[in-house]
Amino acid sequence: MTSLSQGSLASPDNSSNMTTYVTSDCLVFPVQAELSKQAALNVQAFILDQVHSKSYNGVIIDLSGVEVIDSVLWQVFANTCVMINMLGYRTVITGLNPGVVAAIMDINVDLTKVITAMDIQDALNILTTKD
Amino acid sequence: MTLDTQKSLKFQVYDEVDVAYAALGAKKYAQAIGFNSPSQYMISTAVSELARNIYVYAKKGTVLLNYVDEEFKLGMQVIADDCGPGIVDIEKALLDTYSTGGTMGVGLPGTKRLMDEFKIESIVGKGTKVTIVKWL
Repeated sequence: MTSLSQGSLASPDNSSNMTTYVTSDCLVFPVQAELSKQAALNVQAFILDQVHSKSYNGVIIDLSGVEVIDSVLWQVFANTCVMINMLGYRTVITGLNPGVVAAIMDINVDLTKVITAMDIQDALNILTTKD
Repeated sequence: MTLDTQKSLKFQVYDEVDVAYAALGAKKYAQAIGFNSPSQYMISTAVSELARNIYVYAKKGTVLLNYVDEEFKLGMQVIADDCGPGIVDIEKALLDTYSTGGTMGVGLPGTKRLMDEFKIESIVGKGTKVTIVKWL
């Protein structure tokens, strides 16, 4: 029996292990572990706080480290994108894999509010191109 | 992969993080059975929805993962069982965008679409049992 209970789970209360980096004046936030809803909301607050404190070209949320995204988690991230947009920045979600995409299609959540890109380079191209 | 798929795997859902544990466990179990990658994600998302329903509505319950071997068919069965308040109107609960829990109401109908078989039994005041199967 594998140690299933020892999967990589983000600690819900610990914002000190949240890291961001800035490239091409875009704030990149890699999410590296499975999230509970509360952890995702903490991530949301953390990103909004970061975005508010400094000026960026745009924001990239990289979800390549997340294995399972269900309707509630997707909603948190979609809301995060809308919130960041309201603060005046464009947001791109990257790193969704075919399985995650197939699953969220079937759940029938709102996909129109979110811009996605294959990887961070593609996202940077989207964010740094003025439309 | 040392997961023994001949054995069932049971997850207790008491806390919000248990939702993610159950979903991750389901993904590994599906992988061990031999599901392809998109199917693994579909199963784990479905399990995540069911486990989340347990946590949100019933506070605690169990998610049981089984390997099913029927004639000519192999697959994975998930039973989400709780002793919560039950569902008053199951037909409504299976409609998109209907929810009593303040969420989007896509969980149960979404789960139904993600899986091949879907059965829900619920008695008001006694609990809810959702059985889903995906065939290989």
